[in-house]
Amino acid sequence: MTATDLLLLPAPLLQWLDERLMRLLPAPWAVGLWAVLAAIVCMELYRALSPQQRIGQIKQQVQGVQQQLAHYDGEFDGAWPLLSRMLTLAFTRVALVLPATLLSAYPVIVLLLWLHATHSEGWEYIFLPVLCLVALACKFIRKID
Amino acid sequence: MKKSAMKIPTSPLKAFTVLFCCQALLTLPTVAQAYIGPGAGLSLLGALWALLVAMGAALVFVCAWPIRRLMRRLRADKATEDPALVDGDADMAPFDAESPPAVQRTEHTEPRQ
Repeated sequence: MTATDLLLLPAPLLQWLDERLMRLLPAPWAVGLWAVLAAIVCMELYRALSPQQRIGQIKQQVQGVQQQLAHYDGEFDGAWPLLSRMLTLAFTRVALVLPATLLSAYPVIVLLLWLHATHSEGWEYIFLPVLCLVALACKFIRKID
Repeated sequence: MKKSAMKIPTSPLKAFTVLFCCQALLTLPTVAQAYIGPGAGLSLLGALWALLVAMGAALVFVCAWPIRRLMRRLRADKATEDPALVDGDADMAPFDAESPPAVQRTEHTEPRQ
């Protein structure tokens, strides 16, 4: 099984759902609905997989260390621990965010591949803007870090 | 019968060769599906931006250190020359309880009819 097979695994289920959806809605509306679902699933998956509390703490700690550094008035040697702490915290934040971001992209890639294979040209002009708007709305409404 | 065992490269040159081959293999895929969305992608971008800011702040701090030190020394020199100027109350006259105030209070009363 290749990586692409893994991404096409849910295709029969999506096809079955899409056939029922197309009976109720015109094709552009169905694509829009798929985009809304994909955005919500992506963001909720990201929220569940990433340590939100820890990310929030790190953000506050970085701000604190930056303020300490801005007002630092001692010897240069004394500033090294602050610089090192600031960089460590920034790298830690990237390390915490990256795996969840990559994993939460899976449902969207699955949908993109399936839509590309099944729908006629032009679906991306509906899918991508709706996906972006809903994902951003989810991020700000649910206060996801 | 001779048994073959996989050997872990120990010399730096061998390790480099193995890593180089792995890197070359990673560049081979012809098709790649990838997506970083606006929602979770924004979080990742935020984290990367914070990392860049932290690196920039560290660099600025190190580069600006001689200037900050010079400024501090100038300020210290100024303070030793004229401490009153540093305190910011040089133009204030000392308080004298005996001398009258500069502005005298006058009371206006309505003329009686």
